[in-house]
Amino acid sequence: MRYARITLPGRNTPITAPVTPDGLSVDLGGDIVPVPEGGFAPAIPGWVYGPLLNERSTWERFSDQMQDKPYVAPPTAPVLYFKPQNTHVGHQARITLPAYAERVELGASLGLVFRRQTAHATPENALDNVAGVTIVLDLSVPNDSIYRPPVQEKCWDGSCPIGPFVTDLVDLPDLTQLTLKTYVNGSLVDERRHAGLVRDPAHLVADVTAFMALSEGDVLMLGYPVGAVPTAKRGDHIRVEVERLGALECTLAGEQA
Amino acid sequence: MKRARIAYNGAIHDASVIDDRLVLADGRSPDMDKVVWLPPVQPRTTFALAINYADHAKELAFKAPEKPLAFIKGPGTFLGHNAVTRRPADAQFMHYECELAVIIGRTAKNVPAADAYDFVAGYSVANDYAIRNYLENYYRPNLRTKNRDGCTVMGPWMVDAADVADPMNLDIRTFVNGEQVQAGNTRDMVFGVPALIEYLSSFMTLSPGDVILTGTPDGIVDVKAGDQVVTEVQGVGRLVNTIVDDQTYFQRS
Repeated sequence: MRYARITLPGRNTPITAPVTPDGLSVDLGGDIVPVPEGGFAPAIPGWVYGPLLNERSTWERFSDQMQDKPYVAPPTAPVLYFKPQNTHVGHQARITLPAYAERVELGASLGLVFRRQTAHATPENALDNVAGVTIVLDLSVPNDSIYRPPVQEKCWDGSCPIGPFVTDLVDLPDLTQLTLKTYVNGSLVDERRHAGLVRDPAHLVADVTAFMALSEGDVLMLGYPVGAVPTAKRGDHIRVEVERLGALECTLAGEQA
Repeated sequence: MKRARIAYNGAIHDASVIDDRLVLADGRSPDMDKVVWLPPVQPRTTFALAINYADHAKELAFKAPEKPLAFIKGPGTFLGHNAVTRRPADAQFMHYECELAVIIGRTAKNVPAADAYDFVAGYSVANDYAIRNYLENYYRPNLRTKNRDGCTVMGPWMVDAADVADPMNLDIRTFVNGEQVQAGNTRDMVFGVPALIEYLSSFMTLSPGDVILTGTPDGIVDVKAGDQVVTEVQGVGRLVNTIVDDQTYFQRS
């Protein structure tokens, strides 16, 4: 089953409901309601957390620097960042880049969606509270440093499209088998799987919840190769497609803010 | 007005503190020791400031930053007044940080510093614990150090902005087991409240209930299980927290 979170005209709170197989309507049990124009809210209501350095390729790219200042040593715990509420937008959002940024990274990732509070999970039970999976597109202003990049590079308004759907985990194969395809203006620019992870989904959840709980509606991304993904500019249309999960689209507004 | 959120008799209430008495909306006045104090706002996006006092920058061997060094906290790290915070067995150096907390009251985007106070709902006291041996130099300060469950204490209440004449001239102090260990004044912030609101709202929309923790002065010492830590901001409040070890935390709280 796939679920959408949509805003119906005149309602102030989005509703979450299963979508019809074509993805165009939600099924409220008796009524089938078409998703209105611009109706997709961020697919989840909670917090979004992303891991840094969770691909072996990214780790290897930075490994030469890890012994040097300012890093000094490789990290032992998961390195995480926030995409706070002001960054969350739904499918088909129109997003305004910060005035100072020419381009933004297209950090497509799968996101694990939690259905209840999860703390001190073990790798064995870590996925028990994961309801499903969604697509997260982390739009970040590129920075070569991973020491203390300015918070605004990841936290500008609208920098985290999420959706369009949450797909039940039980309906999905091993997540490392899913391919994320990123298109800019219709051209395929990036094709990746979450293969070669430093922490696979279960170990990531276990190691993160060792120090911070995740709650209902929260999303934990699996990560993307920061600094090694395509970028986009004002006026571009972006589409991230994952088999079984759907396609998350957004447009970067053309005019300077 | 001092405004608190408390749990009492099976429900969560908005409460006021009037003449040192807790008063619920319906007039009940429960004993302050018989209620559970929640953070005065339900945490939404919270910013904290690293090394925003010149003396603390020196203490940590940093030079004062040219732009605010802001980082974010999630909801799970917050606790209210009179709670306990866990010191994990492998913590080597765990310290409090007494901070003035600014609570946003109106949606704010691109607000000039001159107008910034119009967007403040009120002020509270925060104690932002850090475990320094968990610090790692990637996306500093890392979440394992600064977003740990139960390691950011806020309260006991929010004081309305109108009742704080000059938020940039408040003494802030920390006491461990009654002994003063930290003292400073908000006038020594590198970036004051108006500048922080201008800076943060320049790149993101601030919303009602968002919080800015404005940093801490020097005077950090290691705290151990059993220590009572009181953080105090002049005219705002006195926030109490107790450190416990793993055994106590997992068995009793």
